[in-house]
Amino acid sequence: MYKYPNIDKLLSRRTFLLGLGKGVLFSSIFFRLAYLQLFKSDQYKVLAEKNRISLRLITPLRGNILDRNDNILALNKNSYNVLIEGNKSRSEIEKTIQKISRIIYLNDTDINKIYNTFSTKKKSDLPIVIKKNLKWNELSSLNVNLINLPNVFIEKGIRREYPFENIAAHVIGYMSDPVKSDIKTNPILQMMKTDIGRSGIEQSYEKELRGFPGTKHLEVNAFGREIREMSKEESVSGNDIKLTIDIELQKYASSLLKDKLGSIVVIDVNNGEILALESAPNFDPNLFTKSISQEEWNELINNPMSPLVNKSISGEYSPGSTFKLIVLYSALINKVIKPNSTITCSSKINFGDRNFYCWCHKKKTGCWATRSNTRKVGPELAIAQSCDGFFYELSKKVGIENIVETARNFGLGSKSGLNLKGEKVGLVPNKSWKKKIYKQSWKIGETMITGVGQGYLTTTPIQLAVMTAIFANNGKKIFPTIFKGIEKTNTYSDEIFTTQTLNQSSFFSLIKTGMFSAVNKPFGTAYSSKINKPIFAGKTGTVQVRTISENERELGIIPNKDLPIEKRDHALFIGFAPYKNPKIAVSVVVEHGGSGSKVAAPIAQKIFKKALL
Amino acid sequence: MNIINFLHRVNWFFIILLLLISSIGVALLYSIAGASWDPWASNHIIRILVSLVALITISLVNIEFWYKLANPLYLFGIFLICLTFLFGKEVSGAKRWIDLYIFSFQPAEIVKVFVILALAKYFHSIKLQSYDIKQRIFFPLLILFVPVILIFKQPDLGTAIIIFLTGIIVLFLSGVQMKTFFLSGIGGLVSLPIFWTVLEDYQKSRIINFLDQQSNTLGANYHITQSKIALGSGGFFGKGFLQGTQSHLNFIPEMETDFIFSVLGEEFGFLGILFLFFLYFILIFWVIKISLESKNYFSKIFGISFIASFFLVIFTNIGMVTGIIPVVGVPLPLCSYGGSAILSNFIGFGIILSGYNYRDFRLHNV
Repeated sequence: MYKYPNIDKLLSRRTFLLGLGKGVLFSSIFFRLAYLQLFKSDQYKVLAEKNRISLRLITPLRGNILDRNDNILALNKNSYNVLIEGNKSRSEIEKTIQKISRIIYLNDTDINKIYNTFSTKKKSDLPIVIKKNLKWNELSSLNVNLINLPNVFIEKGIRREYPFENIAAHVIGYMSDPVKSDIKTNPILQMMKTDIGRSGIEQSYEKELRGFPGTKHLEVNAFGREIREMSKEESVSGNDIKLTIDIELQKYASSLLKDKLGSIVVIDVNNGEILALESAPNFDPNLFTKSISQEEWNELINNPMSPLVNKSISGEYSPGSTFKLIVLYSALINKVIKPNSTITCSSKINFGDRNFYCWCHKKKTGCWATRSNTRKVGPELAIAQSCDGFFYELSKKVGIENIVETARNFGLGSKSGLNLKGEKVGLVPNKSWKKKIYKQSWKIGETMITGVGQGYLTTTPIQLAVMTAIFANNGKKIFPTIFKGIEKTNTYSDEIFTTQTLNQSSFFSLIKTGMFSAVNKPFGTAYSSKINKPIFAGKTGTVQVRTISENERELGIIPNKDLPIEKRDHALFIGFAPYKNPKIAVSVVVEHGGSGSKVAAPIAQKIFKKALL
Repeated sequence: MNIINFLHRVNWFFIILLLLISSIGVALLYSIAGASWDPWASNHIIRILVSLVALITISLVNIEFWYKLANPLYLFGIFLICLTFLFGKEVSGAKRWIDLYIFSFQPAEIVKVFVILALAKYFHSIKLQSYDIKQRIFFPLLILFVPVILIFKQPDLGTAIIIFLTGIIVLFLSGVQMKTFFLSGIGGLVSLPIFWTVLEDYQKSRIINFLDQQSNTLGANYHITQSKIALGSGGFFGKGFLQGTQSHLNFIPEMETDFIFSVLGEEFGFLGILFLFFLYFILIFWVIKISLESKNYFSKIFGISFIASFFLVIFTNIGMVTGIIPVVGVPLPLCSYGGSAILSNFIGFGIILSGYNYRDFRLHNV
C-alpha cells in the first residue's frame, strides 16, 4: 500500500516542480518575443509600413485635341470612380463587391474585370477599380453607404468627352479600358484609372496625350480609409494635340454624307494638311467612355456599314475613271501620245476573247457627239468626257508597267503617311504581282481594264485626294498630315517628283484643262455641278460593282435606281479649286451611290463652296 | 475596528502591484482609443475600482468563511453556467454571457475560481487520509469535469481548457502520483483524435491555420499575422506611447481584449514587455511565497493553484498573440478589457489575501 508522504513537504516539492514547468513555458514566450522583436524586427517594421501606407497613382490630365482653329474636339471631364483596396483577401473583396452590387448596378463584365485585375495584379497594395464614371445617383447612394463598405473609397478621376460627338470621330478616335495585352506592354496602365486610345489620334498620339502619372503615399487604416497624405509627386499632364482638321468643314462634310456610306477627304494642295477626313457612317466616341454595353458594342462591330472603320484610309475602292488622269500622264511622259494627237473611240472594242465597251456605247450622246461625229478624241476631251475607248487604246500603248510606275509616283499603292491606325495601301497590280498571286501571266486586256480604273486596281480615298493635290500643284510632292504640331510638311515642297523632267508642267496643264472641261464645259461629265465661284476642276468616276452581261448591254443597262443598293455603282469624284490658283483638293467616294457625276460631284462642289467662300 | 486598524490590515504592497499591472492595461486602452478615455479606459478603471472593493472586503473576511462557502459557491457557479444555456446572450454563435441589464457577465471566468476553491476544500478535507484512488482522483475529476464540459459546450474552448488544466494542476499539487500523470498523458495523446471529432468546425480550422501560419495571411491567419507585425515592428524600444500604427490604424483585431499584448509590444517594445513580465513575476512569486507560509492546507493549495492558473492564462494569451499556440480566446489577466475576468481575478486574489491575513488560523473539517 502506498504510503502517503508528508503532505506539506509534498506540496512544496510539487510547487517547485510546477515552477520549473512555468519557467519552461515562460522561456518559450520569452524567446519567441526576443525572436520577433529583436531579430525579426526590421522585417516586421517593413511589413507594418506596407500595411499602413497605400500607394496611389495620380492620373495625369490627358492632353486636349484641338482643331486648326483651336476648337476643342476632345477634353477631360471630372468623373468619380469607386475603388477597393487591393491588399485584401479574395473572400473579403467578394463580400464587399456583393454589398456594392446591392447599391449600384454592376454587370457581369464589370465583376469579372474586378476579379481579373485582382488575380493578375503584381503590386498587391494598389487599389482595384470597381466601377468607373459613376453616375450622380450611384455616387450619392455609394457615399451614403460608404461607412458599411470597408476598404472602399471614391476617387475623382477624369473622363474623356467629345463635344462634337460623331463629328470627326474616326480622326479623333475613341478610348476604352486597357485590356490584358495593353497591360502586358505597359504595366502602369493597370494602376492608372484611365482609358487608353483605341483608334484615331487618341491612339496614334497616346503617349503625347497621356502624360505621366504622379504618385502619392497615403496612410490608411485597416479599413482602407485615408488618414493622411504622407508624400505626393504631382502628375505631368499630357500635351495638347492640334490637328489640321477644320471642324466646321468636317461637320459639313458629315452632313453631306448623312445616311450614305462613303468618304470625303479635303486636303491642302500646298502643304498636305488634311482639312476634313470624313467617313460615313460614323459613331459617337462618347459611347465608349460611358462604359458601353455589350449590346451597343455588338451593334457597332456587327453593323454591315462598319461605322467603326475609317473608310477614308481603310476603304479600298476601284478608282474608276479618276485613274484615267494617271494613265494619261503616264502616256504623256512616256511619249506614247502627243498633247495634240487623237485616238478614235470605237465605243466597243473586241480584244482577245471579250468586248470592251465605252460608256457611250449605244448612247445618243457620247464621246463623239460634240465634235461632229468624228469620234476622234484628244486628251482634253477624253478626260472631260471620260472616254473609255480612248483609254482602252491608250493604256494598251502605255503598258501596265509604265502605268504602275506613274501611279506609284502619285502615291497610289502605298500608305499616305497619315499617322492613323488601320490605313490600307490599296493595290496597284502589275505583271510580277499577278504572277505571284495567281501564277498566271498578265493579259493585255487587264491593262485595258486597269486603264479605266477597274479590275484589280484599288485605291483609298486619301490616296485619291493626295493624287489630285499633286495634279493640282503641278507635280509637287506633298505629304498628307493631320497633325498641326509637327512641322514636317513642306520638307520636300520643291521636289517635282516625276521621273522625267521634260515638259511636265505642260502635261499637268493639259490634264488640268481636261479636268476643268469636265466640270465647266457643257460636254463635261460634271457640268451639272459647275459653279462660278469658286471655279473648280475635277474628274468623275463611276465604279461598277457588278458584271454587266452582253445580254443586258443589248437590252439596255439597268439604271442604278432600279438596282438593289448593294449592286449600285460607287460614285467617285476628285477635284481641286480654285482652278487658277489651287488651294484644296477633294476626293469623294459614295459607296453604291450611283454615278460620279450625279452623286459625288455635287458633294465636292458643296465642299469647295464651303471651304473657299 | 477603527480606520487605522483597517488600513493596517490591508495588503498595500499587493494591491499596489495589482493596480500597477492594471494601469498598464488602462494606458493601452487609452492609447488604442486614440488617446481617449472613452470607450474602454474609463470603464476599465471603474471595473478595477469596483473589483478592488470586492478584493479588500474578501481579504478581510476570515478564510474559514470562504472555506465553508466553497461548495455552495461551486454549485452556484454550475447554476450560473446552466443559466447561460437558458438565458444566455448569443455572441457569434456562443452563449457565454448573462445579461444583467446593467452589465453582462461571463460566468465561466468566476467558475474557474469556484472550481479551484472547491477542489482546495476537497483536498484539505481528505488530506490526512491514505492514498485511495477513488478519493484522490475520481471524485476530484468529477468536480472538475462537470463545469469543464458545460463550458466546453457553450462553447468556450479556451476557458474550458484553462479550467481543465488548472484542475489537473490542483491534482498534481495534491500529490497524485507522477506515474498517473505520465500514463494519463500518454492516454490523452492517444485519445487526441477523439477530441478532434468533438471540436466545432471553426475550432478545427483555427488549429489547422495555426499549423500553417504562412498561408492565408489575409484570411483566417489575419489576426495572428497582424499581431506578429505589431510585436515585431515594435522592436526593442517600441514605437512610443500613442504611436502604434498597427493598433491605431485598426490592423490588430480585438486589440482591446485578446490582442492587447500586441499593442504593448508595438508601443513599448521588448522593454515594455520585460517590465510587465517583471511585475507578473513579483506577483506570482509573492503569492507562491505567502501561500507556502500559510498554516492551513486549504489556503496553500488554493493560492498556488490559483496563481498557476493565472500564469497559464498569461502564457496562453501571449502564446496565442505571438503565434506559438493556436488562437484561443483568453484575455491577458488584469490588462485586457473585460469586467468578468478582472472581477474574477480580484476575487481570487481576495481569497488569497484572506488566507494570508488569517494564515495562522487553523481550519477544521466541516
